[in-house]
Amino acid sequence: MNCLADIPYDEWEGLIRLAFTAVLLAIVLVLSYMKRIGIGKDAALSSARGFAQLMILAIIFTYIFDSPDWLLYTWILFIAMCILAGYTSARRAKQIPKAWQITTPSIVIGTSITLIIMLLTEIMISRPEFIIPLAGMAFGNTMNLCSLCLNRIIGEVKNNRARIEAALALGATSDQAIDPYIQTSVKAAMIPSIDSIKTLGVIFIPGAMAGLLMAGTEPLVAAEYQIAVFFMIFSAGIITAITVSSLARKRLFTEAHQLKFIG
Amino acid sequence: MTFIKLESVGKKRGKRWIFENVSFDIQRGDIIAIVGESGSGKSTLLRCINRLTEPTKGSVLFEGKDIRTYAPPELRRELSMVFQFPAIFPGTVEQNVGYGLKLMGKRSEKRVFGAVDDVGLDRSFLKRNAEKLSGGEQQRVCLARSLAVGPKALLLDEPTSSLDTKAARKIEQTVRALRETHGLAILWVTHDIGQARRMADKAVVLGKGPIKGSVNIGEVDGGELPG
Repeated sequence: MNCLADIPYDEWEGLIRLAFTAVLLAIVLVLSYMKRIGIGKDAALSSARGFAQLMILAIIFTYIFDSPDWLLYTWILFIAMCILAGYTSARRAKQIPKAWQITTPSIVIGTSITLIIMLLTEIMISRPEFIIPLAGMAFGNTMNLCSLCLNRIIGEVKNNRARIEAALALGATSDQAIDPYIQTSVKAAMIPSIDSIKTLGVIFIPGAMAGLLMAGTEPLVAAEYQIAVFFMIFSAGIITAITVSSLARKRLFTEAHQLKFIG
Repeated sequence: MTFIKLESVGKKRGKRWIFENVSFDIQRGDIIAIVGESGSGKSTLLRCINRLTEPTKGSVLFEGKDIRTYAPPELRRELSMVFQFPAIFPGTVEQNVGYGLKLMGKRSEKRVFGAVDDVGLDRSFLKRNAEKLSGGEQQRVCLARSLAVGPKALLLDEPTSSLDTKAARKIEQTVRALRETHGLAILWVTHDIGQARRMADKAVVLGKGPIKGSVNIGEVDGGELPG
C-alpha cells in the first residue's frame, strides 16, 4: 500500500510541495479582495503564524522522538500545555478573579485521569509519538470544554441570581441553590462532544483516523483508535467540567452561603 | 429578651457608607416598616438581618444570640425573606411552596396546604405551572413558600412594588392576617409612606443619619419620602 510513511522524505521537496499548497491560501486572499470580505490580512498573518508554530513544533518533536530523554521532555511539554490551557480558559471567565486557579487544576485532573487509564489499559503506547499527540488532543478539548462550562456557569448565575438568592433565603446551602445551574452548564458544555460522536464517520472523518489512514494503518485499526480517542476526549471532558463547576461554586459564594456579585 | 436586635449596624460599598449606626429592636408580633429614599439601603439592611449580605460593622442579635453563631441556612429559615420581584422556580405551585421543606427532608403536603391556605390561594392552584401565574399570584406563591418553612419572622422587601393596586392590597391583607394568626414579627421595606402607615405600627427611616430605635409610624414625615 502506498502511504505517507512509504514516501521518501526530502526537505527541499517538502518545502516545494508546501509552497504549492500556498495556492490554496492565494485563493482565500484573492476571493477576500474581490468580494471585499476584509479577511485577507488576518488570513495571511494567521497562516504565517500557524506555519511558524507548526514548523517549530515539528522540529521539537523530531528532537524529542529521537532523544533518550524523551520522558523528561514529555513532562516539560505537559506542564507547558497545562499552564497554557489553564490561562487560555481562564481568559473566558474574567468575572471570576484568578480563574486560572480553578481552570488549570480542572484541566490537569480531567486530562491526567484519562491519559493514565489509556496508558494502563495499553490503548496508548508508551512512546512519545503516541503520548504527545494524544495528550495534545486531550488538553485542547478539555480546555475548550472548561471554557464553555465556566462561561455557562457565569451566565446562568447572572441570569438566575434572583432564583439563587430566593433558594438561599429559604434555607438552601450554596450547593443546593446552584446545583440546577451547574447541571445545565455541564450538560451544555458536553453537547458539542455528544454531537461529534453522533456524526462520527457520517459527516466527517475525524483527525486521528484521517491521520492514521494516511500513514498506512488498516482502516479497522484506525477506526478503533479513533473511537478510543473520542472516549478519551469525552471522559476527560466530563471530569474537567464537573471539577471546574465544583471549584467555581466555591468562588461564587462566601463561606456564609452568600452569593457574591459577579460583574 | 429582645426578639431581633440591631446594634450600630452599618454597610459600606466601596468607600461610601450606605447606612451607618442603625440600631433598633423588633418584638414578636411587631410590624415595622423600613422606609427611606431610593438608595438609602432599605433592602440591604433587610439582607443584613438574614445574612444574605454581611454588614460592614455592628451586630444583629436573634433571640439573644449573634446571627453569626447560627448556620446561615438555619437562620434564613427562621427569618424568611420575600423579594421585590417574585423569583419563581420552574415547576408547579406545589413544588415551589414545598421547596424549602424538601431541602429540610420533611414530608410537605400538610404544610404546603396550610401555607397556600394562609396566603389565600385556592388549592386548585397547586398543580398549576407557577411560572404562568399573574404577578400577584406569583408573589402569593413566594409568600406561601416562605411560610411553609415555619419562620418566626418575615422580611418583606417591597413585596408589592411590582403589583397593581388590587393585588398589592390583597398581599397587605394577607400579611396583616398572618401577624394575627402566626404571631410573626414582620419587617416591611417600602418606599410608599401610605403603605407604611396602613401596615406598620412603627417605622425605621433610613437616610437621615444614625438610627436609635424605631419611631411610631405617625411621627414619620411623609413629605420627605417619595410616594
